[in-house]
Amino acid sequence: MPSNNPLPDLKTGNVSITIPSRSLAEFVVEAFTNIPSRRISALEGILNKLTIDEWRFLKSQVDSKTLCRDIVGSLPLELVTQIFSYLDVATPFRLQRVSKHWNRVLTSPDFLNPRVNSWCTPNDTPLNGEAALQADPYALCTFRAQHQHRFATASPFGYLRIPREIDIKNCWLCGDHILCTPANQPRHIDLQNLRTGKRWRIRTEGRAQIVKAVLSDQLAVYVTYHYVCYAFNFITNETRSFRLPKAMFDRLVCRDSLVACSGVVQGKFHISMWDFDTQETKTFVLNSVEGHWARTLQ
Amino acid sequence: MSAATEQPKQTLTVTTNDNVDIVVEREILERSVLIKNMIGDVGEEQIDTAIPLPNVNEPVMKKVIEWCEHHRKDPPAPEGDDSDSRKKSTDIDEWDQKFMQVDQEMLFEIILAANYLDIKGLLDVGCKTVANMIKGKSPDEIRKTFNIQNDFTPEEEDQIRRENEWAEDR
Repeated sequence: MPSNNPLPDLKTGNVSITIPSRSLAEFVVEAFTNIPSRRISALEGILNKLTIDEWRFLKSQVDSKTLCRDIVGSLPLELVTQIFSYLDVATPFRLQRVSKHWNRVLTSPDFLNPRVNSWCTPNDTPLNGEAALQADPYALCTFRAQHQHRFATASPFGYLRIPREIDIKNCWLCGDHILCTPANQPRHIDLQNLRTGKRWRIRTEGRAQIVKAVLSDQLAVYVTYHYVCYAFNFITNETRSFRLPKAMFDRLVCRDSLVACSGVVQGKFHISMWDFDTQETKTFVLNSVEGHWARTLQ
Repeated sequence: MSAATEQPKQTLTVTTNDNVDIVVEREILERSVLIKNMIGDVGEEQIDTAIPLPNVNEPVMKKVIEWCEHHRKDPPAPEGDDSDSRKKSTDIDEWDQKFMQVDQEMLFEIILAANYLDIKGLLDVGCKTVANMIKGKSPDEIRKTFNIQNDFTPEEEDQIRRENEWAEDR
């Protein structure tokens, strides 16, 4: 970086000729400003020449310099977002009144939406009261943040009471839903969406007693002592059933729309898989071979 | 081709925006994804040329290099998006905590440099440090910490406080 001002002849002090209208002090400051790199070494040179009084002055200047920086107010939004991702969801709302600039940053949709909406995926059932706020994105965002905050501080808007007499071994949680079965001679199951509070009580046909119940992200499935497996699809509100081969309820599992059950019948291990959507059943039989179950297709 | 048999060069030079050349071990410098990609783009033959860093000055780059040197053996940051929704821990290991005991200007510059140079680990530590400075503080304490002027009238401030009353109880 070439400087426009030629260096003065400091030995003769003949400065005013080279740079008229400027004091030597101003010139030194400008020359210092124009040093392209390693200004520290120039500073070191100056410090070596200081008198005690000048040091005293410098010290008072240094002590008053805080080196503070409004970091949140100065960083790009994506980095502010990252900083607040380490803090609880209420913090940006609490700190909106720090300054007008903080207010603009902390209420901007680009900052708030990713943080708040990460709690609610687009596939989630809407919260109670959300529908009325659809036209006002900021209000919707605040509403969701409030839900998260109240959840995190153990004072949620809604909660679920689970009766003491439920069978813990027959209690299932899958996605947003919880399924509970009474402990003694169950003739119904209780299903609840934890997010929305929506609940169903599903009673068995003809008061048949339930052996086992399981839950997937779409089905609540239970088997009765009448060897019938019922599946309630809580997304479509449909119930379908299929008849089980005898004693096939040793094990019952389900995933998505698929129900599988198994049991040992006459020394053979039977597995049945039934699809809720197609209502097709597939069956395998495993024979006992030297203490292990081996599969043969049927 | 002789290039294939040559040993990869062990040191590189970077030029900071205040025109200072710094010679650094290649392995240390490659903690920066930006520089690593730059080396990949120009090829091994061009590596003798100094790498210009127009967004970082010497004191900040020295700090960045210090961090990279200490973390040279860290496994590379896992790929994938950062949109992880869960609240993350603000725990910082002891060495990093000491490293981050700098003035706010320097902390700010380190975060910007880590973002520009694409050094995820350093960026995370920087952001966590700021998060810890904010954590649990009232708006007034925040203003004191970062020397921020409150430019709201008392009425305006009170209005915003009332709108966000729900966020106060912890």
